[in-house]
Amino acid sequence: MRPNRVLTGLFLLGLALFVWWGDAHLDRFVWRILNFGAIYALAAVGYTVINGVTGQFSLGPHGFMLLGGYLTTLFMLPMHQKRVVWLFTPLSWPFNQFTLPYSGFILALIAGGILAVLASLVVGIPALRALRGDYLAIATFGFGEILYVLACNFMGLTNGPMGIKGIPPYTNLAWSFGALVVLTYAAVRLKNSSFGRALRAIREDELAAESMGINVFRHKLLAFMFSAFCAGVAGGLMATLIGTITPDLFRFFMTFYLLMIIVFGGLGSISGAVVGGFIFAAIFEALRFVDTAVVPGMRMVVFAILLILTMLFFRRGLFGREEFTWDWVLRGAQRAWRWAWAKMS
Amino acid sequence: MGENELILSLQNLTMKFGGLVAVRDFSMDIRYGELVGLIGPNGAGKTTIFNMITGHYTPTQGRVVFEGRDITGLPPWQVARLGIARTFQNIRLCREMTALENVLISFHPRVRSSVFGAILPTPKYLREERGMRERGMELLAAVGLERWANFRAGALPYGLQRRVEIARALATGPKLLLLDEPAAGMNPQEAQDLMGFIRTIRETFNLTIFLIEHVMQVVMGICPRIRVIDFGVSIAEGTPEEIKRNPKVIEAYLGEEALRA
Repeated sequence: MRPNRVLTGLFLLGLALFVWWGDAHLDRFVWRILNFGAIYALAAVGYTVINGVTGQFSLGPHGFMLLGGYLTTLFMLPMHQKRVVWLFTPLSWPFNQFTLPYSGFILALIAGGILAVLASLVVGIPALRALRGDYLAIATFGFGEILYVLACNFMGLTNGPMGIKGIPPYTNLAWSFGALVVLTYAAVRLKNSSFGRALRAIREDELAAESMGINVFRHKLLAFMFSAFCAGVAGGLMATLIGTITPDLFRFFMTFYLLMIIVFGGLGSISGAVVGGFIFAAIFEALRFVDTAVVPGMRMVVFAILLILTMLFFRRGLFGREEFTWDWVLRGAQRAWRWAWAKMS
Repeated sequence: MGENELILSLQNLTMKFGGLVAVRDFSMDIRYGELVGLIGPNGAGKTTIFNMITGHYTPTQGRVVFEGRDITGLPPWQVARLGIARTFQNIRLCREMTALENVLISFHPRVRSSVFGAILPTPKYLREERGMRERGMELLAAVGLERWANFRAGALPYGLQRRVEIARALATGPKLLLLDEPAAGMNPQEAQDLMGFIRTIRETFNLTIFLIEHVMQVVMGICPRIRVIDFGVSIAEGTPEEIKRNPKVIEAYLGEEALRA
């Protein structure tokens, strides 16, 4: 227990130093990939809590990211930009009255998360009570598509399909990694707590969990709300990283990416979701040449093939349902050391 | 005999699935501290009766009264919290979780901390978690499973899985324990051991037990009172001796034997 805490502390300190240095000096291309990686990882951590840990097949995270993205944008967009972007339909009250300074960024992100949580209640209360499996997937998918249509048509808030540009690019490594660390900690704590045991019990055997006095519906809703919050914050970070937002940014393909990440990482593994998020962002950029050299959209074909290979050769993903632990690293290091020692002598 | 001596009263329960009548007009009273057996051939409707008690099914007609309170139609998790715990005919453990974790699931409904308290975690939650683990280990020790506490439940041998499932039911702190064919799939020796085990936990935890059994010999040994049903209808009740001599019971069971042959 103790040495592990020390290692975790050192790791976080190292990460903080890296982020501090990276925001100032890192190559912008790498910097951008790391930001995307952290944002994908953040959304995936939330997603794996509902899909992996609780075993409820939701296909809605893109809808929650959309909500978080737009709300954060509406809070942070400077007034002069608000005046020029909405050409045809004026921007609705109250967002035409104010804008938040940089110091309000954290509030805007949290507000995005909370809006996503409220939406998760709207869809979750009817859907999680009555549906499971494929039906739940269809209901949550439909919810995401409804939000897309709304985003296209509520011109006064979203400026429709033309989107909003000129969002101040506040997201940097400090924000994206900060949010990732805080919410990953929360997810790990949740999974290992008594509540997490209830969630896992629901995944394993819903009927048995219910018979032991667990209010299955409330716990599913809890996991759903947590995943929505993560997705909402991730959406806000993404909009303020890219600098523009359109409804197309958060279409179904976003959920598809996240699904690939958590399946690749290992369904139900939070470590897997984090590692998967970064690997996804890296491969996504590395494969950009495929789009330019072959056919636009070819990247997704390559991704699909990678996912199939993952399913064929390590079905349970990178981590299975296990988590990263220092013990595991230390044991590995010990083995490597012994091996190297044996080679030398 | 006052009403308050009854822990469970089943009044004219009928369960229909479409045109099929699984249970017809079933009534039964169970007093505090009793150990009652419910037997009958395959498909007689035994598990359906359990499912009506625990709220998995809402009876088409009739009432379930537990400790003087009408619990008909309550959802299973509320029934469990009132003090009725059950095991399943085909063991339903959380196989990927350890034996101890399976037991801890049953403590969860009594956690007082909020989910935020668990995430932070607050000292109050950490105290609760420690307390749960201690009580969980005590319970496993009481049923002789402490050395299997950190084994994956799905990896345990069948007989031990059955005991873990019973321990998990006990962890909910029940007054009434429903056991659905606890000896299913066991050889006669294992079944005998299990019956001894059931007798022990009944005394240790001061329980009322209602148990379903398919094999008559097993239930004869421990239940002073036995009810027999066939095709959803109650056909006999009495002591093991009376049941053994009852012509209707013999017919129901012989009929089944004849069908098997």
